[in-house]
Amino acid sequence: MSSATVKGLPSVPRAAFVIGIAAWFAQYFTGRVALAEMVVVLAVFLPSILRESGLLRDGDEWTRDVAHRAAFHTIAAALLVFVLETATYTWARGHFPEVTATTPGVHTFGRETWLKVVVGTYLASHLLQYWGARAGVVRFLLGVAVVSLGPAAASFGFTPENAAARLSFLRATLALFMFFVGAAYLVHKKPRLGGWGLLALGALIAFGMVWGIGRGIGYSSPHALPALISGVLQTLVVCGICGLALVRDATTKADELR
Amino acid sequence: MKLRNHLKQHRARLNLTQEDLARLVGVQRQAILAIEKGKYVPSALLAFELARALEMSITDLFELSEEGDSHE
Repeated sequence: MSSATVKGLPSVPRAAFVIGIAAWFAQYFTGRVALAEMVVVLAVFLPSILRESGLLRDGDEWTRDVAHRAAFHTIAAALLVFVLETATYTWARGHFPEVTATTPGVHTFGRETWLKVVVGTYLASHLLQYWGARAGVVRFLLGVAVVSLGPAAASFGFTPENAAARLSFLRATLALFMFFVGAAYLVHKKPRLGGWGLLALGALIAFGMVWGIGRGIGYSSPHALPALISGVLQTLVVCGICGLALVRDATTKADELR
Repeated sequence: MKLRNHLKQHRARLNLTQEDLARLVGVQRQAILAIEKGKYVPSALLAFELARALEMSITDLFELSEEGDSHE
């Protein structure tokens, strides 16, 4: 993304990227989820914070402009999550006597949703602006593909007795990985078609979740609505933002290069 | 009111790639691409640097327009 600040050393964003990915996978091996998530957040936001405070001078005015807009989008996404979380928690407290002010726990979105939405929005916005819709979405989807392999690492802790479960979990993870890689390839080759495909898929997943939760655990549980909104939000970040960007501005590779 | 620019055609006139021009003015290639596509309006400083690198006056490189695309 930017040139090295010290000759022979990797650039700060590149080093932060490697550290962030390593921390994401480390959480599944070490079990220190909170610490790993903190490192991921720092890896994503620290380079921009250092640039804004003048401690890192590796970018140009365009890079800073991209970071400003990505930060604005992130704040807007965080605000949306906050409003939705407050609304669903209020709803849960109003409808279920067992939900009290002192036990937010599973009745709210949880740290993971916040992390995925906030970090996902910042990365998606940054990549889409910096690289353009097509190349940005390809990079974002490949990133999601790599990150989706993370939970597979946790399956290595399974005991031999449930090897079958482990195998089916690994198969599912591999299928998810292949799906994102395939989507990235489609976007690379046919950006507009890929955009419409992502939007359709997002709508399908959102509908499936609404329908599935309604038929499955039902809305008689205080967990249902937060889980549903959390799932829809994460789908929106991946399919909605990327799909819309591609449909609006699907340039070809030739446009981007020359 | 929009700011149109003729960056792409003058870059081609000097047979410069986006990468070459970016190196000349000290920005990244994506910045040149964004300016050419009208997605980013450069600062006055960068606009003057671009004009100098393309050996022309800033008023020939950038112009205000009432309507339409902000780039060519």
